[in-house]
Amino acid sequence: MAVASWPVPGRARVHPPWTKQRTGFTVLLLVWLGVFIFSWRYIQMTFLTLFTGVGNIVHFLAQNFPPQFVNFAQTVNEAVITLGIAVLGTAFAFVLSVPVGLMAARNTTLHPAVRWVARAIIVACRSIPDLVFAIIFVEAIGIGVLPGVLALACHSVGMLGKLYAESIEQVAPGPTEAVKSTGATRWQQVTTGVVPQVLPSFASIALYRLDINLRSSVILGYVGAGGIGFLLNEYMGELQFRAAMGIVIVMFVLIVSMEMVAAVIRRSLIGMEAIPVSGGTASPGPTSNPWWLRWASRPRPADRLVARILPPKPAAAPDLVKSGGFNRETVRPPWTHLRIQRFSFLAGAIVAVAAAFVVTKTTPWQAFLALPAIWRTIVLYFPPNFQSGGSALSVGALQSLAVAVIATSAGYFFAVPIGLLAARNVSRPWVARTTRLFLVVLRAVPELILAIVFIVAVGLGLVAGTMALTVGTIGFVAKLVADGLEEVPQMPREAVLSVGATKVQETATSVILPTTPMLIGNGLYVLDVNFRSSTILGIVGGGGIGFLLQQSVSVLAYRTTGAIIIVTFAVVLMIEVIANWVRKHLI
Amino acid sequence: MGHSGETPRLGAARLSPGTPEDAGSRWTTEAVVQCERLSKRFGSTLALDSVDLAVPAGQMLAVLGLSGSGKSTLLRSFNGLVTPSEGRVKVLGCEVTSANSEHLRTLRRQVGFIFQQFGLVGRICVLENVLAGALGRVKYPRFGVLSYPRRLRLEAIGHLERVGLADRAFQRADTLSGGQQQRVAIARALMQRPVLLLADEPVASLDPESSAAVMELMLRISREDNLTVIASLHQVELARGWADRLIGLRDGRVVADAKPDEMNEQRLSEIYRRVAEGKMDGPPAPANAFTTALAG
Repeated sequence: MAVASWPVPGRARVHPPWTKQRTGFTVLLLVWLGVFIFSWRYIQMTFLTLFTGVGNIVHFLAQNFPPQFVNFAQTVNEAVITLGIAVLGTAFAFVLSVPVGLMAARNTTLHPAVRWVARAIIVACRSIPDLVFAIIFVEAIGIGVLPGVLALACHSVGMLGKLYAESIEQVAPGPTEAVKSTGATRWQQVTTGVVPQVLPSFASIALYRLDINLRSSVILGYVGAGGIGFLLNEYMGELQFRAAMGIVIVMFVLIVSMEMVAAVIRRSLIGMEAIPVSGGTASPGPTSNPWWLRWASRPRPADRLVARILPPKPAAAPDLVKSGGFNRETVRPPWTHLRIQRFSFLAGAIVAVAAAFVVTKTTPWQAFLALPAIWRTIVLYFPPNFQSGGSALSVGALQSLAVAVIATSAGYFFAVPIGLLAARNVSRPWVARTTRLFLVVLRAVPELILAIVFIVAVGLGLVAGTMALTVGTIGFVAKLVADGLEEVPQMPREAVLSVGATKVQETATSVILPTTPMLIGNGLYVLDVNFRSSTILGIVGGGGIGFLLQQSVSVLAYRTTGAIIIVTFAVVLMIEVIANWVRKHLI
Repeated sequence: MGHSGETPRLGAARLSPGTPEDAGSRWTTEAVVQCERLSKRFGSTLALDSVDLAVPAGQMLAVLGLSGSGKSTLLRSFNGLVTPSEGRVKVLGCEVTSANSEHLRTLRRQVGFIFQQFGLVGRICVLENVLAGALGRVKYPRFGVLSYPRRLRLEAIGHLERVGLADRAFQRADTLSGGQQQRVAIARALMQRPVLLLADEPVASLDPESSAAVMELMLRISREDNLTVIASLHQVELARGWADRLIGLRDGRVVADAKPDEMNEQRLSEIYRRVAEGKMDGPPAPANAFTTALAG
């Protein structure tokens, strides 16, 4: 009877219907394939160069081994200044991004028109690479630390402002409405209802940006904007490759240690969030606090005095956060662990910024004093001259775009298997750990340095730039893949295993498949990043629109430079519009 | 109340005679809340359909109705969180429909509003949430407990003591249970030194035990402070227990208006008819593969 009731194959439709989404998705993949083939032929990329290139690199590295540390004290000094530039750039960006983010968020903006202006500022800042900002600012205020700081700050507003606006828009509306219902003014609603909710994510986003800015700041010196990159440029110019490698190793150590410090801080930031939401009766559990926290929360004479004056309170439920004992006369918040942690975070940030001002020998008002000079220089770029370069401008833009497309595709091609190896829930623990370490190393090498290495290997031109970007993409995307895979919920995996699937089938169905939309959604974002990077790579000889930029800057053809920047801006904007459309309609 | 407000209050205005244009109309001067032909449209749906209502001072009014019957919209239009599409609303002498933002803020200061989802900022401490109730009385944006003067902090502790949560003052608001959070929200409303209390489903997201405690607290405080209360509720029995007057909303219209003892089954079914119909005429449960297989 049971057998008889099994469904008999009939005329039911078993092919998924061609929905708008599915059609669009197929078209997108075909278009991408076409663009990829076109790009490959356009920049005359070959597989052969790829392999001879690797040989060249190995040869080059072997020849210049061991690295040399010429004038180590100066190198360390420049490294500290580089760190200072990154900290100051991020701090300036934070100060600028909070108002921009507030104005760009739908729920806190003053007026829709203001919102559009804020969003335009964000897009403009994001689409102009920091190295281009640095070139403009060096032009305006001369070689030094300040142009580097301002360049990082301006470019970072593009990311911080966007993410801040997004997190403000995601804030729960209930508390703000409640604050509004008490008769609070608009700004009171923002500070009481919105700010406390977004503050942790603001801090963690700024920390993430500091990490990125340090990577950028090591190369700013290359265009005269201060820091360790200046030494690299010098040694490369003198063909002292061993000394240059020494500098690269110092940069590498700097970047990796920053990533570790950021991870520790981020964990403690998350720790502040990890408070159970369960009626305040959550069991405290065996918590072992560090000595300084125990010391900071020791009973104080004032507390004991209060305890004697006040009648004993009814035994409250044991709380995770000890909060009952406060002075009823002054009503000041007690120094709970949470408050100490919050204050030490704030104090740490203030000390770091102050120290950064000291080591870079800059002052906040120098930035203001530089504004007129910057304005005078920016005016020189207008009106942009699109004619002088002839067709070179469109060819350059197309070349850079082709480089970005190939680097993105090739990067994904290599990154997905590496990401699978790096995911703890897919591969073996030791494999995952080793691969993760490899990715940290890979991402710690700035793309500009990769470009220099590849230029040495395969000569000046687009192919070197493409390879550098591909390697950079692998580092970024493989981490994205691994993180995405590790976030996959456990439950469906057990369900798939329980029907008798093999390990490989299970991984494909319940781990890789759910991660695919995220990966494709990020593909256009990676393309966007790679296009901007490819303009930077041109500056060291990686070809494309960046090469034109470097040329026009060196001959002081301001209005041609203006045209190049505007073309870059337009392409980035175009990619972003397409990416938004794809994300909205297809994924 | 025993408090002296820092800002001019509208309480006096509410006792002043009406403007000449009101002379012939049904607008009375004693009513704390009054609305006339109040309608609110969200896109194509009519949330409120020509509601007439007058609530005298000191009355405890329960608003009954299904989800989507317009209860929340009605309460929100009384303190200007929702702007009516048509009609007039007058609360504590303030014409909500034509008031500018300054007047609206002055009105909101005196109207406590209790939300179904409490509306606490989870990340800040209980005391700062209560202090937010004083924002209408202080100048400038505030950030952190210590940005409020000590006098207000002491007052806030007093309100917390009244709702029985003073020992939780410096705990994060999201570490409290639902019932405790709603009590904090009541303390915040008290911080406004309200004349009128609006409560939008104050106990809908609480378990029966905490609902009873929260309702009891709200009621006791309202009686002690002589507040006018308008609360929307799901539970008929709860409403019958304390209200002086019940009104029923259905599809944005007032379909019942009675004293608690007059609210009989027939009137109730008028309010909740859709539920009764739904139970009778609901489609039969769809047969699933399992039952089909068994039948086969």
